[in-house]
Parts: sequence; structure tokens; C-alpha cells
Amino acid sequence: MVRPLFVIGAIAGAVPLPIATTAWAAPQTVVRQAPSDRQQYCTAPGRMMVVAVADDGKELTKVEYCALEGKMSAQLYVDHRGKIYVVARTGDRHNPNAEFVRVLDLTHIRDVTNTRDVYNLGEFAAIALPRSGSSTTPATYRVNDTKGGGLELVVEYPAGKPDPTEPSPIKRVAIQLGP
Amino acid sequence: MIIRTVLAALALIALSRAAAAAPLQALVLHTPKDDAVQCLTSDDRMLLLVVDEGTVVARYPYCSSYGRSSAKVYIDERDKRRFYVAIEYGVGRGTLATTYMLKVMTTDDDTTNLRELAEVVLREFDAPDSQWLNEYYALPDIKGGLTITLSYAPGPDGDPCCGPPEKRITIRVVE
Repeated sequence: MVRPLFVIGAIAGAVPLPIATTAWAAPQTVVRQAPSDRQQYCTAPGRMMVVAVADDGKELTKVEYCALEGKMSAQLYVDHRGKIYVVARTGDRHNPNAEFVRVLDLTHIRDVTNTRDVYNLGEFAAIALPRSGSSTTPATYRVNDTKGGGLELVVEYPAGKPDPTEPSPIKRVAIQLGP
Repeated sequence: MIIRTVLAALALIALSRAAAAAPLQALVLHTPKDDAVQCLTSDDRMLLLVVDEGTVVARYPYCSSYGRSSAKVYIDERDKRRFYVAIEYGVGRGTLATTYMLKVMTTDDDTTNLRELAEVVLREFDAPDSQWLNEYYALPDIKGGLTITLSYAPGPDGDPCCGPPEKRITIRVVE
């Protein structure tokens, strides 16, 4: 398993981050409700939420997602290279019944004048979480470590009753990313 | 006589394989007047049809920047009733606000709808020098399922600010 990242100040000293060496204090994810003027962009009111990364109490960067039933979660991970990811469980803007696990990478650059830190959360992979089917077991996901850096996101589909009239059920969807 | 029988048997096997591999086709239609899906502008409205010998077996309305998109279909090797569709599409509008994605979908078990399995970014920013994706290829697994491997090229001039998030991404769908 890739270890969840709670305090990487010590790691940053030993492992250079890919974009810029960053002295982190105690970065963490923050999930909160988006302002009311942003709620119109989701299919149901009150569902737009913010996933942010904060360090030492200061919000560095954020992205917005529509939440399924008002629920959303996010966790930080760091790989062997020191690259930081956020894995977030979110809803979807267009489909109010859909749910996804998304992988975002946290990048940090100094601007050209070298006076300002710029952070960005970029989404680059997602797996849909199935919500239908004959099984009542919810889908689960896990994040695995990979050698040399990167990570693997695995979504296990709940096993329903086999139906010979339907195609073979999907058991698992995985996305592996890395150098 | 034996040789003729063997040749006939081989021909029959070849024909039956060709018949089993009757290609499904993915048709991407630009449907600005169809309001089945709400897009940023009507020009982004698209409709994907998966056609099997003239019969529509799956349909999926979606949005893609500037009405440009493409799709490929892959049949499962183990269960020919299941197929996968890989759609390349755009999100957003504007040179610095358009992201191109690859979405992998499959047949819903009891309808002609498609359901999403996974998606990955192909490139960000609609600029000629921000081409991230080097190539991708999809291989149906003989035991069922599909593997798509994508490789990415560095950003312009090796600038770390504008490069792809990773060099390689692999999507695996397991039955």
C-alpha cells in the first residue's frame, strides 16, 4: 500500500520532489461545501463541494466536484519519488447518480519572478464506482504501491448473482500510473 | 482425399472465425440539435452509436469540445457479448481551458446503454506544442477483459511545468 501522507516535512528533505523541493509542514486534504453561487453547476442543489490541499493551516490549491448525496472524501498519498497524489471519492457533474474515484497530482512551481509559490491539483485518471447490480455490497477501492514510483488504483466490483443471459460481470478495474 | 478434407476443415475454421469476429462499429455523430445531454454549447453535443450489422446495440450521448471526438470498439475475447468502447473527447473550451480525455466504457448488462469504467487525461491545453499522448494501444485479454496502455511524451522543451502527469498509464479491466 502507498502510505497515506500526513507529515512529509522530513521526507521532503531526503527525497526531492519532482517539480520543486518543497518544505511541507503538515499537508492535508480539506473537503468542504462550495459557496452558494457555485451550487448551480451541479444537477442537484447543495452538492458542489471543494477538495483542497492545505499546509500549515493555509489552503494551497483546490478543485470542485459535485458530490453524490452530499458525501465526498479525499486523502493524500506520496509515492517512492516523493510525488504527491490526492485520491478523491466524488460524484459527477452530469450524472447525479454516478460516483468516481479520482487521482489528482499535486504540483508546485515557483513563478517566473521566483517570488510566489504556485500549486495545482490536476486530475488525470478516474475509475467509476458501480452503484447498480444485484449485489447490495458497495464497491470498494484501494491504492497500491508500485516499485520505482507511481501508484495503482484498484476498484473491486461487488459480485452479483451470475446471470447466464448477461455478459460476464466485470470484477475489477485498475489504473496503474508511473514513470 | 485426406488433404482435401483437411483443407476444407481449415477453410471452415477460418470462415467461422471471420464470422465470430464480425466487426462492431463505433459511429460518432455530431448532434448539435439533439438536447439529450446538456453541454457547454450545443456545438459540443455528440452521440455515439455502436452498430452490429446495421443494428444499434448501444448508444451514448455526451459532450466533446468543438464537436470533435472519435471512438473505437473492442470485443471481449472470452465473452463475445461484452464489448468495450474507448472514446477520445474534449472538455472545456479555449486554448488554455480544453482538456482531452480517453474514456473507457462497456455495455450495461441489461440495456443498450453504455456505462463508464475509467478515464484518463490525454493532454491539457489545446495548443500545438502541448501534445502529451505519445501513443496508446488496447489489447483484449484472451481470458476476458481489456488492457489499454498509454505512453506520454515530455512537455515542450522539457519544461516540468507543462509536462504530462506521468510517463505511462495502464488501464486494466478484469472479468
